[in-house]
Amino acid sequence: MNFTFIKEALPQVLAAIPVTLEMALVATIIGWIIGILIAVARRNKIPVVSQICAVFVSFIRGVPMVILLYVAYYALPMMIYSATGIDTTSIPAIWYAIVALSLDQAAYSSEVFRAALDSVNRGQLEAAWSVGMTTWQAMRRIVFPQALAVALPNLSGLFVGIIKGTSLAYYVGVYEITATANLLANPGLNFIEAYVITTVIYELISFICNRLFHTAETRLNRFRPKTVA
Amino acid sequence: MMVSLKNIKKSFGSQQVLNGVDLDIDVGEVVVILGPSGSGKTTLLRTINFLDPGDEGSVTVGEHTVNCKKHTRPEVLGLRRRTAMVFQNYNLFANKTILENVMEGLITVKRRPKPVAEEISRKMLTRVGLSERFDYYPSALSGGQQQRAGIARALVLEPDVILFDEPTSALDPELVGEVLQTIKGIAETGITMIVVTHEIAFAKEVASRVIYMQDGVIVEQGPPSEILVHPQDPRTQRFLRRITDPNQDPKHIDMKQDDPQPEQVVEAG
Repeated sequence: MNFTFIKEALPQVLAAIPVTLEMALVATIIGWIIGILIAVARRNKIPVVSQICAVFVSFIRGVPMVILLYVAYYALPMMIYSATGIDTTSIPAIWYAIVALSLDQAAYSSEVFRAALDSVNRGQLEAAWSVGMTTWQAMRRIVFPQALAVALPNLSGLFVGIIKGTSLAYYVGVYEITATANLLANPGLNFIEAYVITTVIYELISFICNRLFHTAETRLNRFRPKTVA
Repeated sequence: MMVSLKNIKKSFGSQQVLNGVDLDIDVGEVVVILGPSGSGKTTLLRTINFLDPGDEGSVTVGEHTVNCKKHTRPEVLGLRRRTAMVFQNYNLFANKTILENVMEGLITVKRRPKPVAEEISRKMLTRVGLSERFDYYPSALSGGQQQRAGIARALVLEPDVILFDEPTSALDPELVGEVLQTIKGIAETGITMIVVTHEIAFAKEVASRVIYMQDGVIVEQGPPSEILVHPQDPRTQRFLRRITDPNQDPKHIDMKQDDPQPEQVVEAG
């Protein structure tokens, strides 16, 4: 183990954490919003839209993340160029990665949201209607908070998954944690050390995220009967 | 006239549930609807606030008339804001405390400032005997307490009419009394009520009018002293005989599987 390498490389790898987090956070926000929309569309069986969503979800879930990244990075600019003539090559690679990660999150989270929305019994929605609330008020104040409480454990898993998924952005040249470590390891062939550093960093980020989600879960589940742990 | 239903028809798929029901209810009436399961009584109640919109006919509450076939969202909202409903399974908002459950409609629908809504809600919960339970979540309460909170949630909106959909059917037998007592207390305040129930004793005591429904139509109606004591229609007679049979679970009377009408009167001439 080359400890001098670790000492020198560590600050530089740590400096790449914001890139990883930025990708993960932006893709999560975009992906989950799309995921909620897909879930609502499919639950309400909106004609055409619902079928398109079903195909989208099944398609994205069947494609390896790396392929999705390649498509976003290499094929998407070409398609945009031939369709509109707009040159997108000046857009940094990180945004193509974010597109791919968002699509991935949208597909997976939509299933999580769908199940969570189903878990809130329809009676409460009817009760909200019966007091004169609009569907939007009922969803926002009654259904979504309860669905979110149900969805959180799975969403937590998705989020930790996407943090690790960002390491694939290395393939399209985004210098996040993994790519930075690799780059630094190359000259002296210090790969073992580099991977130890990345492992520890990913573990720490995952650990912190899990704790945050767990706290949120406890807060959102206040209304549930206390069960013996 | 407080509530007026005209020629309400409703079917689920090929099953005709309501076959043209007409019903006029005056201010302050307590109407109890009886009938075997599948008679359409719950569906009729749910067509009034459009939880199950009728296929044909019209619903009037107060001065507000909505056509079942052709209705807009604001029209339905207007109807729902004049009515309130108490559900068989309480349907309290699980993520809100009892107090918040009652306040919810005041804040979101009636736009009352929070402190005002809270004060009114506390009074209402005290009225239904839940003054010790304001900050409990529904899951921490008994069925009877949940249902009384449900009644408070409906009552607090000062609706023109309260719709009760089998309010005691999901309760343990020992909790039925407290809820019926609460409903009785509300009936005495003169608010218009429509109650779908299997509690004959309650109907006898509280109803100003009893309606017997079967197969999607109103078979017979009148004051409880007539309908419950001297029913004219053989279908009503049969139902009452069965429901007062101590061995019969009133929730599962199926009139269709009945023995071929034994006491059919052969008309002379």
